[in-house]
Parts: sequence; C-alpha cells; structure tokens
Amino acid sequence: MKKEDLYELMGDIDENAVADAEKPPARSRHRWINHAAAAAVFIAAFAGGVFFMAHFDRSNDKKYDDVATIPETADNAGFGYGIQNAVLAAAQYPEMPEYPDETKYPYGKGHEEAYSEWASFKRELREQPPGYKDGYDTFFTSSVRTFLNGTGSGNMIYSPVSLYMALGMSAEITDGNTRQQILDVLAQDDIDTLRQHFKSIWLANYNNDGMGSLVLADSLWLSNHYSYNKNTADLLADNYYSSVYSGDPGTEEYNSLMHDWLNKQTDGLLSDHVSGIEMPPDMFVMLASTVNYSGKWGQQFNYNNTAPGTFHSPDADVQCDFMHDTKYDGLECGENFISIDLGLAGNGKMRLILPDEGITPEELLGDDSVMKFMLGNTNYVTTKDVEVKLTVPKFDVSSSIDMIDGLQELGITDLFSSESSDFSPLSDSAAGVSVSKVEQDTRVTIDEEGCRASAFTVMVAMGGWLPDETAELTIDRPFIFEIISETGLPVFVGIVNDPTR
Amino acid sequence: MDDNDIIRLYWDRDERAVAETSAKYGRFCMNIAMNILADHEDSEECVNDTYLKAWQAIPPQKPAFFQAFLGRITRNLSLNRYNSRHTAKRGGSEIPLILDELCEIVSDKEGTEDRVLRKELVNTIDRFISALPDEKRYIFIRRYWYSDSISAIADRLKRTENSVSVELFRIRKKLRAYLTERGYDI
Repeated sequence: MKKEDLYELMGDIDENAVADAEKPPARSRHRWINHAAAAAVFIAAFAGGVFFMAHFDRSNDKKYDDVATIPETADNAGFGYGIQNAVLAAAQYPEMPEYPDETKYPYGKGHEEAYSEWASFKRELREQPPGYKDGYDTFFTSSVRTFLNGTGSGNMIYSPVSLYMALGMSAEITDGNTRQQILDVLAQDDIDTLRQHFKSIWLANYNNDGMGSLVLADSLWLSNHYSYNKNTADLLADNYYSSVYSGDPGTEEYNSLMHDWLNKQTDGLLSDHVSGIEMPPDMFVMLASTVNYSGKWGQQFNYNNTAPGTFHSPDADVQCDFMHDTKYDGLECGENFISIDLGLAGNGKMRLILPDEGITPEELLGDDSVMKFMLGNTNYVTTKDVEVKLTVPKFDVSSSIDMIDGLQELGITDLFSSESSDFSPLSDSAAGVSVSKVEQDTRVTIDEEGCRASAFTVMVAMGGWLPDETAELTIDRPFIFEIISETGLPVFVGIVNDPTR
Repeated sequence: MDDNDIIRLYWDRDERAVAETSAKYGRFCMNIAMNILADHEDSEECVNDTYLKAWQAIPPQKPAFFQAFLGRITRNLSLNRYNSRHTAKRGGSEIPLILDELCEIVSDKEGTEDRVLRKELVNTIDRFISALPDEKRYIFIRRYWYSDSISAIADRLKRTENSVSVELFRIRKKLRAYLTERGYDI
C-alpha cells in the first residue's frame, strides 16, 4: 500500500473517536482503572454442549445391582478402577498469554514485549497444515439442514463444531461400520485424517486470552463397573483435549462431578439444562463436548439508543428491546436475503441474515448458495457499500436438540443399535452397547452491555466522499445468525423466531 | 445553535444552515485544511467547498456526529487539493512529514483498490485505536486524522515534542505488528 493511500484511509476511522480527540483527554490518575473496567465487560456470551450417552442393552441381562465394582488390578492400576469417583486425565490446554491490555502497562512499559509474545503465540496456533478444515463444509451443510429444521415458531440454535467434536471422539471409541458411518458424516477419509483435522481445528480456533474466548472442551465419563481400554482413553486425552473421568454412574456424587465440569466449561450459562443431565446406573460411557464463546463487539452499541419495539414472530407480534446503531460496514445482498456482519474484537464476528419477506429462515437454509455464503464464499452476494441504520433485537435464546433422529437421518445408525454397534476400541467387553441419548444444549445472548457511553456508536463511512446511499436494516422478523471464529469456522448457527423466548 | 437544529436547517433547505455551520465549525475546518495545505487561500476555498458538499449531502443524510462529518469532508477536499498541487513544494504542510512516518507501516508499493478490503482494514485500524489508552489514542488521531504538528500536540498535552514523537513511533510500530498479525501485508 502506498503511504498516501494509508493516510487517505485514516480519514475513515471511527467518527466518534475523531470527535473525542477534539479535546485532550483528562489526565486522571484513575483513567487506567476506568479503561480496564470497560475492557473487562463482555457483551456477548455463547455456550453449547453435546452429550452422548451409551449404555448396555440389559433387557436379557442380569440386573445392574448384580454388577460389582471392578477392582483395581495390576493391569489397570492408576486408571481409576475401584475408585469411587476420579479424574483419570485432565485435558492440558495451551497456556495462552493474556491479551496485553495497555491499561495494565502504565506509560507502555513492558507492553511491547507482552504484545509480541501474545501475537506470536496466536500466530503459531493459527498456522495449521493446509486443508485442515477439509470436510467441515460438507458436514456443516448437511448437519445444519438436519438440525435447524422444524423450528416452528420457536428458536433453534445449533453448534456444528460441538457436534463435530463429539462425533470425532465417538469415531475413536468405535470401529468397523459404526466408525465408518461417523467418518462418512464428518466427510473424513479415515481415522488418522480425522485425528489430524480435529487437532488442527481445535488449536487454530482456541482463544482464551482474557479479551475473548473460544474454548472447545471434551470429556469422557466412564463407569467403574466396566473395564476399558486404557490406550483409547489416553488417546482421547492426548489428541482430543479430553478429560477422562471414572465413577459410579447414578450416584449423586458422580452426577455432581459431571455437572460441575459442564457448568465450568460453559460458564454456568447452561446450568438449567445441565441439571437435567444424569448418568443412569447402567451407563457404559458418556461423552460431553462443549463450546464456550464470548466476545466484545468491535463497535459497541450505544445503550442509550436501545428502545422497545415490535418483533413480528410467526405466531404473533411481540415486544422486545431493539438496539440501534449506524454501521458503515455495508450490506451483503443475496438473492433472497440481506446480511450484515458485526465484528467481535479479536474473536471473529456475528453474521445476521434476514430472509426477504415471505421466506422463512428454514427455506433460506435449503438454498445451496446461502450455505456457501455462510461458509465464507462471497460469490453469491453483492456487497453494497452503504451506511446502514441497523436495528437488531437484543436476545437471550436457548434450545435443546435431541439429535438421535437427525444423526440417523444423516446415516449414523449402528451407534444406536445394541446389535450392530462396535465399541471394541474402548472396551473388550462392550457387546450390547448402544447410544441412548444425544443432546445438544445451546444458549446465545447478545446485548449492548459494556458500552462506554456513546464512545463506539458511530463510525465514519469508508472510502470516497460520502456513502452513495444509505440503507436501513431492521431485523424485526425471523432471522438467522451465525457466529464465525477468527479462522472463518462457523461455530454456532441459529434461527430466532421470537427473541423474547 | 445545537447540531440537530443546524441539520434541520439543511433539511428545510434553509440557507442559514451554511452560516450557522460556518459560525460554529468554520475555525475547526480551517485548522484541518491549514494543517494539510499550509496556505490560507487554498484552505479557505476548501472550507467553503465543505459547506457546499454538506449542503448537497444533507438531506438525505443525517450525520450523527456533525462536527466529524464536516471535518472528514474538509480533510478529503484538502488532501485532493494537496495532491494536485504538491509539486509546487509549498512549505509548512505537515503532510510530507506524516507520509514519511506512515512509511514505517506500509510497504509503499501499489496496493489494492478493493473497497471491501479497504473497509476491513479501516475496521481493523479502528479496533486497534479503540484499544489504545486515551492519551495515545488522542495523539494518534490528532497526528494522522487532524494532521496536527507534533509541537501542537505536545502543547495541548503539556508534554515535550520528543516524548510525543517517541509515543507516535511506538504506536506505529504496534500498528504494523497488529496488522501483520491479522494477515495484512500492506
């Protein structure tokens, strides 16, 4: 870029910041504290989880009460057998340097070094082998259409990455046709490829620097009444960043341990859902996979501009709070929709997609070009460089999806059949095991909290003189949202039919 | 007069809008133009053109920050005029110095004209600016948006010119690292 271009481009920076710079800042000894407090508030938080539970088909078997706790032996020593409730392996996450908030470095001392360390760490995580996301697009398209279907007048949220992880771990603990069906749905050639891709996706998207977070967490819950292959459990811990637990299913203590883990991984956002998850006494294994995401808007909404308004839900009009702002990021216009991206500071973006009147979000998701757009392909949209008066509802929506029917529809059937399933990699004595529960619970909230007065409400239009035209985007009818990570990976997709539910 | 009242005059096509704008923001716009052009006559013309542009733009526009809206027009007009006349080598303008400083951030090779990419770049720079402490943000914007001289910034902050220069050097270095980290090769 030419230096003249950069100077010209500087003219388009945030209009609000320009207005603030009209007067010198007050030199208060408390200014660092104020700034830190503002930076510490997140305005959006997202969490999701998938739970896989497999148990023995005991219709012709002896009752659970007859099964004795497997004693600890020389072979399984250290693996927790015989212990009531134990953590067998705790996932080791990368120790990410904290985002070097300048406010913690009075007069900038030491900030440059901290920034370099943080930046180089992030760069290393992002640098994964080419093609590491291969297959994810296929999985995303088929699974989104399967699980975001039949929402009726309610809301539905789905985290493809969370299911991807849970299925990935399931492929590791199964074999034969059971595994192959999973690999087919994940569009992976073989288990080795899946393992590499999984690890790369995990690392490339990991973010936990105090500014924003995207943490994918897995856990494997075993029963101390059965024997397991230690190598498989170790493999999950090493390659899938999974923690491994063993305990006595059905007991309050073991359920409590599991609830604590889930609540911790999802920052308590799903506590209502978590309390309903229980490990039955005859459980053979449970997998839990969570995604916890939080981000702060790049340009925050002005709290003072939030006002009540009417949202046209399919059933009836409802009243809710709408956030209003002027955005200069332009609009993406597709054949049957309009979309706008809202940046989340250093942690990806949220994309809002409003179908044209008369078209439902589900109908829109059936369009291949829309799917490609959601995966980052912009060949199917026209970018309109306009100033946008955006009106978007605040929402706090959650959903719980029973995924068994959908997975069977996608082609995974053996996992749910005690006759066909093959869990041999996990246990030599796993005949008669089937998955009895697959559930994904998700919650997404957005609001304007954390705004510092009107400091980030308005931005200067890009390029040229003035926007050629202005546009209004009022999201007051059912819409689709997508949370996309910094690497472009869609992490959450949802349909909001009623922001008040 | 309140900004909303002035904007209402523009919407009513009332020519008092220009007089009110000039009374309230004439000096502000003149300072920006002078920083870039260092010529009173040229600057005055740019400021007058600013009012004309505002008259043409409002309506349909309704600027949320009227002052910055005007300042941006003045800045662009002055820059255009500077570009068309800079061969005259008129002294006193901050632009040659500012451009030299910006060389530390860019490669100075021909870059993309893609508006979408440029917009993304502006958004990224905005995020960088918003994360700066108040005083650093002030210094950065005064220098690269208002095109203030370093001595003027130092005066306003009651700091030495050297300390402002050092501060700017650090911010430019950080901005370059920040952009590189986000995949920009500019």
